[in-house]
Amino acid sequence: MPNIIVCVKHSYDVQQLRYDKTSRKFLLAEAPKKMSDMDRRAVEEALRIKEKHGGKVIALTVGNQDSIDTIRQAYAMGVDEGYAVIDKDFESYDTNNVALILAQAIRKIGNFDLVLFGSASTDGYSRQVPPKVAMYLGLPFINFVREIRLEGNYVLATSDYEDGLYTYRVKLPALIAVTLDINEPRTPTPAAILRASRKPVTQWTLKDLGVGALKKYFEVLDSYMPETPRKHVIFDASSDDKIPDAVQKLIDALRREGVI
Amino acid sequence: MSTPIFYPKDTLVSFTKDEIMFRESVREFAQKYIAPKWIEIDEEASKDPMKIPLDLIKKVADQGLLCIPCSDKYGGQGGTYTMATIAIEELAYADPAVALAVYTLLNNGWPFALQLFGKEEVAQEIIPHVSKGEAFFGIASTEPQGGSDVANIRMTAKKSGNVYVFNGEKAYISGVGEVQVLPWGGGWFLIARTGEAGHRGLSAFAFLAKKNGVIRKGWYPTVYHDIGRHGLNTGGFKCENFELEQEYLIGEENKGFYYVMEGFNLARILVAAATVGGARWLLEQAAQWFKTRKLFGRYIASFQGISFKFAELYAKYEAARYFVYRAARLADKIYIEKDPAYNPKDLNVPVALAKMYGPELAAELGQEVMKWYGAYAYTKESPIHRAWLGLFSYTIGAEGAQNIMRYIIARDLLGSEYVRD
Repeated sequence: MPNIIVCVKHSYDVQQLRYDKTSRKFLLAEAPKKMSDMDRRAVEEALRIKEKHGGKVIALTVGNQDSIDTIRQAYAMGVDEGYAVIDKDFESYDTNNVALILAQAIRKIGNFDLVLFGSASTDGYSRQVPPKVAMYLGLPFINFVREIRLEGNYVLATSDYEDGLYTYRVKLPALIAVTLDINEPRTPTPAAILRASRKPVTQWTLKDLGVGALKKYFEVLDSYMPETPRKHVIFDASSDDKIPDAVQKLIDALRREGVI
Repeated sequence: MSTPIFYPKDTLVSFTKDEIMFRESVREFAQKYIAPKWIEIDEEASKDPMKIPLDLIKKVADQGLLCIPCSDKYGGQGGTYTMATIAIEELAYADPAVALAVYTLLNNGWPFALQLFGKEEVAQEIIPHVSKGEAFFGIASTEPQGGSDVANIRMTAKKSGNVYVFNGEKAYISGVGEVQVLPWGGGWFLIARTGEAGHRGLSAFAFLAKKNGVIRKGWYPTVYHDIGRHGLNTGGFKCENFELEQEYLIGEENKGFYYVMEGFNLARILVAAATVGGARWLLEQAAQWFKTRKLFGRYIASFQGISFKFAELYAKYEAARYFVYRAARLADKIYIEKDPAYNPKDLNVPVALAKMYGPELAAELGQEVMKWYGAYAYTKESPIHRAWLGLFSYTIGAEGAQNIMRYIIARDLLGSEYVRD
């Protein structure tokens, strides 16, 4: 009966993210947040493993105070326990810092067989946190996973790389990061949502985890919406006799741009 | 001198975190499973009204969207009335012909009314089947001679030993097909005459036309062909010496008028929510069209005849949405939180505003969007007419005619002695 820890991020909902038309900076203060898309699949997969093999599913997040909402969402999906490492400076941490904090929290929770992540977060999309957590914990790591099977003390995971599908077999405990293809996550019922709001979320600070001053290896200097200027080329096809010439010019232009 | 108007009891509308999470959940569900199918459902059931989308009804049930405000001891979700309202708005946004939304709203509002006024064992028998999508439970009030004049209902229910014997006819009732095809069956919160003429001689019943998969004797249904909202069946039925055990009487004999009026208030909130959800879909169709359609070398919204009308209709949409959720919040105060500062009559005006305003906005918006789209909207390939015709049904009737809403508002604001003829 495996105990599974699922790491979830309270991400900006990029589909609702707007930007300032002049500075092209993202308007983060007004952007809604939700559980990262791939992390939701990780929670779903953990719940499916539990439904098949028993055990326990634990959700863990690190973030600002509002990241507790993501643990509530995980509770609504059906996880058994929820932990949140709350730090007001979370936004300034790099992926090493986040990985170190998560690794410490996972150690503190203890008694786990499998750690699941989404391969990338919806907003940052760096894909760096899961392998770094695996490194800190000394766990085998399988990335871009679209299928998981447990066989005794082993896990079989199928990864989706550009050149094909690879199936790995590793001994538990292990850390696996999943993609969007692994499953369709459940949508919680009203009763499950109401139950979730009554469940306790264990909150820790960095001090509780014994994490001291964090050394930053890199920082994000800038983030903005890239401009994609249009060329506004007009081909004159305003009369029948101009159409053949316009079509030829259009084809030439598309070839020049490498589109065809 | 002036006469102060004391309505309404103010209630601010805001949503809890649970409700926000629920809206996202139900929106994702509805967009994934219902939005891709609503046109096909509407088309198929337009040819055969018995083409009822049983697979989607089951999905809606499994998602916990039926009997949301009902207690979990009856298999309900133990949720708020606002949650039910959110669910209906999102289902209607995904299916703007509103068939699934109306199936769902009936099976929220009326099982909840049964829980409020019916006997414990009857609620325990019926509501679990409704919440699992195995049975339908709606409202049967209207008769061939009309629907608005509830006090003059003619169907009789005569007590004979341990049963009531029903004779008479109900017409324009939602769910006549559903009761026949759903595995357990179900029926309606039905109102019939047990006593004197007028509203003091009416009783309400949990009228089960089909129970445990068996259609009961003396019940003769007919199915109608509607012009829209095809995935939800409308029909009528005759009762000829139809016998119903006395425990299915709801509350006290000859008090049915009062129970059904409270039930109507609850259901009307959800009807209005459906029209608001459909209206949002229509507004988005318009916005999309305005970003692509050009005439005379200009985007059509650059003509103020169009953009100003759009702005006016958007204002009405926001107002309608406010009316709906203000009424839902009041329903929570009265029936869920049981706040002693509120009583059921506080719902009359807020609900009538929502039910008067939402359907009329949706019908007007549908008609305008049809015109903005031009001839394409008049083809069967365009989905807009399906939304328009589905939503239009709620300007005609369904939990109360529009002029009845106007009457309620005027009566409660001015006093009934000043608005009677």
